[in-house]
Amino acid sequence: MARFLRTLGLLTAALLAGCSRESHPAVAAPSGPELTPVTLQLDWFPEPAHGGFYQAAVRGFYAEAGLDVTINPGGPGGRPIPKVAAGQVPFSMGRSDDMMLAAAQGLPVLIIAALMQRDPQALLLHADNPVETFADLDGREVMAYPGSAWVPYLKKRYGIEFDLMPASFGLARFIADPELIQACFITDEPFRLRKQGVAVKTLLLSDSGYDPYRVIVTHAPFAQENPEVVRAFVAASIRGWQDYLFGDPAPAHQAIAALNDHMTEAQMDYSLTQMREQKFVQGFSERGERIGHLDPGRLDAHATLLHELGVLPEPLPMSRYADLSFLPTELSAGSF
Amino acid sequence: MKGSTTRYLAPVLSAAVFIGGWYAIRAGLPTEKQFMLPWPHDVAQAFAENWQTLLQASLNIALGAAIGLCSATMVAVLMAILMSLSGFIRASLYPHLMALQMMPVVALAPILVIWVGPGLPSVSIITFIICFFPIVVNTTQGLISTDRKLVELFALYRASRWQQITRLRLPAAMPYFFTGLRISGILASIGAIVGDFSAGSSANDGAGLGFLVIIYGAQFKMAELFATVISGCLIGFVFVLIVHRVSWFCLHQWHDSYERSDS
Repeated sequence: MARFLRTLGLLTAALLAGCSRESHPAVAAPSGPELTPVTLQLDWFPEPAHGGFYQAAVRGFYAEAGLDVTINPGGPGGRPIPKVAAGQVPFSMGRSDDMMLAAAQGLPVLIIAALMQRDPQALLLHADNPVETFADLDGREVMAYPGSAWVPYLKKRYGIEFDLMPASFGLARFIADPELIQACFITDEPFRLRKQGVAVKTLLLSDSGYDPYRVIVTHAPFAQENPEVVRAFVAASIRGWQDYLFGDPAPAHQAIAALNDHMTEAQMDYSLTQMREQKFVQGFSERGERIGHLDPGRLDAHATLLHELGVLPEPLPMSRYADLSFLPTELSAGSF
Repeated sequence: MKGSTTRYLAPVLSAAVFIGGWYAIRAGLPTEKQFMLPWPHDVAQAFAENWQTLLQASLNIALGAAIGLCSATMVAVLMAILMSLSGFIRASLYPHLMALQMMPVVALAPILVIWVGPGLPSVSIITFIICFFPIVVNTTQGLISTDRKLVELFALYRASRWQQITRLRLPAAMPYFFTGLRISGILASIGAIVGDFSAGSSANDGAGLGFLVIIYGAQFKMAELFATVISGCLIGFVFVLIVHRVSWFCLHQWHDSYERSDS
């Protein structure tokens, strides 16, 4: 009994310590000026697709911008957008089309910067699968997240029909079933499968013409009350991505490897190379794309497309889902 | 007469109070939280706009739940008879049956999908697993709790083992069996929806309510999600109602629990 009470006491003390640290972040950061604590909710387990954020955190870019950023890992089923909408976390990420759907349903979320100019989401197939193009998907069954807006797009664009089953968030089924087609991140699963000796090919969804951004989002009321915090977060994150992609990625990779056992050095190198070569994050400079940059015309065109597809019940003005005023001036100036 | 009026009026009144409270809470929400709770009439509109989708999904769930529940009932009763035969069989099977009940469906779903494919096969098996245990436990308990004196009476008249089971133990175990069946009747539709959520498929219009939950969830459609939840409740009610009717039919002529409602 005494031992139990002692354990209980220790637990309570630890809990209280944890709480007090939450509410007085300045205590945790010994250096200089008081930092504003904010949380970034990831959309998956830590991986190179989050590299720039970890780079910014580890290299102190956030601290230099006056922020103490906690990065919360995500996972299957850990849907980040409702968390942002409920005001539980100020920052997260996702696809621009999902943000439009959320905003249309009244969720107070705002796109504030691009995370990737192009979405690395792709369809994953066994190398000997007869499906070679999107049009070949006709009559097939695809394992993906039902409700994704690219599904009606592909059906309409190519005049095809295909069925869906919910993602199982693993590769066991794919390895077992040579017919299976499933959604993947082109920067991740193909490498893991090839390492296991499974020959695969991919169809990058953005090649179909369905081309949303991956974006950084915030809670609209939070942005209204703390515009400087949002601006600082966007600028420091862009700096982190710049440094991660074109500098030494080791700081981010060490942080990611420490948090995610599945992330080997080789896996992370592969992902990073894919991101660099396919220019997912920095985009194509000849089109005026840069890290973080958002083109209002492109956002607007995508919202119009979603409306035409019937995914959005009514036209959605950009003010409902995005605010480009938090971008660094050199990025927002070019777009207007 | 007065009793039956109250009986029908009471739930209507409580529902009115509930919906009134719902309106009040929704009206009091600050702007940035309003997306969390749709107006009740938004939910009604979601029903009106999506009734075909919801109906098809409900029928798919009902089918999966019915297959799962019926097969669970048959296997559970046979298993219970087997277990009632000897303490040794009981002791050797019971822990494994318990393990069956303990299996986390979310972990099992991907395995089942690989084995039998997504959609109805997986959904029915998941429902089976969820429904099986309450029936087998209750029925076994019933079979081994038969009145000692009646068992001795059967022995006195030199009834065979088979006669003892069919004429005495099974009828005596009926109330226990139905207790289990009622629990499983409630679980069946929940099991099918959970199964559909993790192992469903839209092939052949086979998407059920669990599948719809994913779609509406991905599109942040709260009113539609509420409509889906209510559809799930309705299926559950239908199953419970059927089980109650069957139970009444089998027991009301002799079992004490029905005496009062009969007179």
